[in-house]
Amino acid sequence: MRKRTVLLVMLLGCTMLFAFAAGSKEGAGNTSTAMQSSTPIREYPIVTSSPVTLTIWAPLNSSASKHITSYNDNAAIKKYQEATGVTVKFIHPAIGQEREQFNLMMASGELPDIIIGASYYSGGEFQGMEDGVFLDLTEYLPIYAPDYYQVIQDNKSFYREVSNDEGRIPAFYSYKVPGDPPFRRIILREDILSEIGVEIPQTLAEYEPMFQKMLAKGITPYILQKFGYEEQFMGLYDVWANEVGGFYNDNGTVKYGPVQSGFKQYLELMNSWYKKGYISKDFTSLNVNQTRTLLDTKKAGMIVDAIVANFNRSQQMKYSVTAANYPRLQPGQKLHYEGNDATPKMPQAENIGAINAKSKNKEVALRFMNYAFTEKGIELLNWGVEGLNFTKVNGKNVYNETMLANPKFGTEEASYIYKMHFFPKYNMPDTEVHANLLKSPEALASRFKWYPDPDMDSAYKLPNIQLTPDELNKRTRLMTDITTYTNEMVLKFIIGATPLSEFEKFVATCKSMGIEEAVSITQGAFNRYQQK
Amino acid sequence: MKRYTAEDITFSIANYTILGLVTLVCLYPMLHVFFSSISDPILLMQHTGVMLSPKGFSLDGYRVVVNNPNISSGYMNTLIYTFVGTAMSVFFSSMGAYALSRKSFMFKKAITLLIVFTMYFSGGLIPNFLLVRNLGLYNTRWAVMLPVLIGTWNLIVMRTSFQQVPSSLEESAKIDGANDFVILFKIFIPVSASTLAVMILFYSVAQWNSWFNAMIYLQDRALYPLQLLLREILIANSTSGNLNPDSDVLFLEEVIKNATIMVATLPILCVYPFVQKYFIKGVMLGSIKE
Amino acid sequence: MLLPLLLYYFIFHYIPMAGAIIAFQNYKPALGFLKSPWIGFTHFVDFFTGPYAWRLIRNTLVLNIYQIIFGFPVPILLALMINEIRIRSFKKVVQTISYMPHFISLVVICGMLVTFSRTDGLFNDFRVLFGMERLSLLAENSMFRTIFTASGVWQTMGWGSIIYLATLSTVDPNLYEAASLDGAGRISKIIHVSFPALTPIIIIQLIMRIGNILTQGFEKIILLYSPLVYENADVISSYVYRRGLQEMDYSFGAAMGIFNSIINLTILVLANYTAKKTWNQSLW
Repeated sequence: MRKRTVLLVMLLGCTMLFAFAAGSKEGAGNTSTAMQSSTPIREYPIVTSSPVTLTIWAPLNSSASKHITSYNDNAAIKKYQEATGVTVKFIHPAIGQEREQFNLMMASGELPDIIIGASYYSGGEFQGMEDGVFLDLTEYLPIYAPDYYQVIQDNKSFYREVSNDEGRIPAFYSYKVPGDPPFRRIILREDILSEIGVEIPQTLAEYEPMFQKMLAKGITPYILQKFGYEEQFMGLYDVWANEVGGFYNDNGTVKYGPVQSGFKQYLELMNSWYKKGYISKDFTSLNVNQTRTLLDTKKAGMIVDAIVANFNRSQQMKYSVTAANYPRLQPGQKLHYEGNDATPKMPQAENIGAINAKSKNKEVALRFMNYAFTEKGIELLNWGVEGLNFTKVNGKNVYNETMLANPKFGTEEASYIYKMHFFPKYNMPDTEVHANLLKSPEALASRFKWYPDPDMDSAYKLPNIQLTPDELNKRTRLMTDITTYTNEMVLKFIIGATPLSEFEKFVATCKSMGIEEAVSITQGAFNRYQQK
Repeated sequence: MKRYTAEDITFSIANYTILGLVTLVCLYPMLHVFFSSISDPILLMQHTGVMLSPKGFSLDGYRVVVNNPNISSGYMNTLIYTFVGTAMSVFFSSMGAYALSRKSFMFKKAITLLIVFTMYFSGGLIPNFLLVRNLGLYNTRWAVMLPVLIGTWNLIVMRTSFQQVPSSLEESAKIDGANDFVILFKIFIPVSASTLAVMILFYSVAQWNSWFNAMIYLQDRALYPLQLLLREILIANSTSGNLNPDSDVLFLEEVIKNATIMVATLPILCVYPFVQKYFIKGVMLGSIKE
Repeated sequence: MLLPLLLYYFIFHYIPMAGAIIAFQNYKPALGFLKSPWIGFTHFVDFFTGPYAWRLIRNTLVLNIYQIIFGFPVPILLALMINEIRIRSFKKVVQTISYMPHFISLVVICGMLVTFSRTDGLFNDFRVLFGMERLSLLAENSMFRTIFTASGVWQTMGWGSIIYLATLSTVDPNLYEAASLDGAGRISKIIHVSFPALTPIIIIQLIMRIGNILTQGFEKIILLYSPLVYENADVISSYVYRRGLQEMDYSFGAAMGIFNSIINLTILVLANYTAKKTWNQSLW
């Protein structure tokens, strides 16, 4: 018996020792290095006393990985290095495991100079700055990254999104001029429409007769989105929500969609359509591919999806799709839910680049990242290498065959092999530089149909507000349970498993689960955002 | 001369019928995967329901897999990990199981408890990662083989099997002056051959199918095992790996998914019949007369 | 002889266990173990005072119990039946094919299940044969446990029978002869010779299986469920997964893992004790 105790004690002792050893990596406090100069530095290439190689951690795009193993092989990056006079070495995590490998990198304590994907940090990149892991860029930008700084200064909403409540900036973000046409539309097949003799519906009232005729032909009229939230029909009643907890901004007041009375009207609409057989009975278990296949095989009549993707695919399948405009209760109804491109900051992790607070090459790294916001850098990353994948025609940049019709790979891959589709940079509009859209004038046209719509804006969309870690913790705790409940109830209401007379009970339950607290937390953060 | 009773015959008929059905039901998924892997990608996407024959014909899925630059090193690596890893695992597991099965061993209860405890509590991803790094095993082949050296479940099963070996065998060997190693390798292993065969099967299949440890601990693509590469190919060609809402639909996703399963699974399916030989008859030689 | 074994477990299992401290903290990878602020039992309290705690625990237990009741005996029966095959080649074929489903990845299996469960799918074709109506089966709460359990049995029964077959092959053929001489028929022989030979391994397997009663991997659940069937399908691990998606919260997942393990271990000890007293077979 004693021997066993001894063994156990030994084990515990060694365990403790190890824990201490492992825990000795400290987070550095916020140190500010002496500024070398106080005037903006704009010259490229960067001249240093000895050659500098910067290390960059970045996710490798999965399509590109089929042909290149590192962005070091990317044509635009090669030229970028020449232009800046800096060599870079990319470190890529395994595809599909970016989050895990990011955390392992953090745990190991050995960070590269630049970290793209900084939002993977626990609590977000702002937390990374607070913890002293990412460099606080605020003081450095005017001097070492004047072009990026200029963009921030010229755009108030961008400034609000990239800074925390004290105005401190943790990373290089991608700026995109808002205003690309929306990519998600109601999609219908032209041949079905002509078979049943129906025009593209404009108002809600025109949808039911169309559904009726489709049903008569044995076609399932509408494949509703898996969780039951379709903003294009919700918007009719001035609400918005989604399956991860939809907060929206109604003229300065933050609201939670599912408990609004307008939402009840939405549910009534969906329920009546479901009862009449207009909505597929399998909608809760179909994924995107299966839904698209149903459209391809004429088993479904209407889906809501990305218009260009469907257009290109349908061309290959030898039929034509068309998009419908946002449905309205009556013509001219003003709608506010278009969330695409509503704000200038691009949210993808690949568009967020932080600098390691302990990097030995801070100034070089800053200037390197800034180049993406200079005129030459913009062209390089948005278009690629002149002569290689695009040419100048009458002063305008035009992609050539290598880009649009490459025998070895499609435009998706090419966007990561010849240029950098996702990278912290100044982004030109998709309709000008996105290769997928420029493949054919018809593809581009399909995206522009119904645009611009003067009666639609993005007023409902909440900008990228920041919550403190405490707030985030609290709200997530509440929302995980509330969304579990809401998502369940939404589907039950739609398929009629729960009668809509119980809607008030549903609202009351949400309240008892703390939705009002969650809303007020969000409201607080939103107010702070507006003050900036 | 064997006489077949009525019971014998009814039993056999029922047995064969049921097993026949079982076989068909179990065969179907493999057929589905196989037919899907050689089907034309577009026709495959459009097909729903039961698959009793390939839709069209195309080797596109296999082509993508085979064209991957690391595929041959992937196979090589997996073979190395499987053979070496399994050999080491079986070797050390049997030693440990033998020790734990000896009735006279004082600590066996305590140690077994401690070992079983590890099936339920583990440090988690990050502590394990730090450990491997601090041991200097990061980015080496050992990082893939050592952390999984002994499977607790396998160990327990082996121990149980060793416990069933009659003590008379051990005693007679001891009388002949044999030490523990001799007893283990010359007596216990042959007697428990079928269990050992199962251990070999389980360890090798586990090693063959593993990719997670390789993903965390290896940086050099040349060391990647097959499954990790296949997984990357799959993600690269899938809509989940694709962030761009405007991109063209990737037709190859389904075909590649099925082709990768075939490529990964066929070799391991061949191991079983080989190992099956040992399941035939018990190896209780007439070494003791009860 | 024991040394390598002990070394392995100490190094690769016990040392990292120190990291289990995470569960009690708000862990930040860059700060290391000592600096992450302690928030004690907050996570546990959070979970148990939530409105769904009971449902999640119940579902986890029920699905596991179903799997044990239906899934545990089947590989044993299968092994006993295969053992009775006299025709060598048929025996080989059945064995090899029966474990093929084990190798097919969960994603593909679930893909098949989803397709078959659609209103126009194979399962519904069978329902029509029996005069039942077509339903989107995975949207029906009452069907979830059946589909989940049955597909689990189908996928694992072949592989699970291997260990039993191996044990059966060690049975002394003389025992069967002796039984025949005593006038035993096929079924009697199975009950009195084959089955007893399996008893030790069955008990050990059962103990270890019961010791996992609170563990339900989330992958298969996530692939098959939808909010409509949360009532029967949502388990602890799928809930933790959804929570993890909303914020990068390690500590919550780790805390739940520890809770899981403590309960499992307790039940394991109980099961072991019972087995020892009843059948004189135990894990330790």
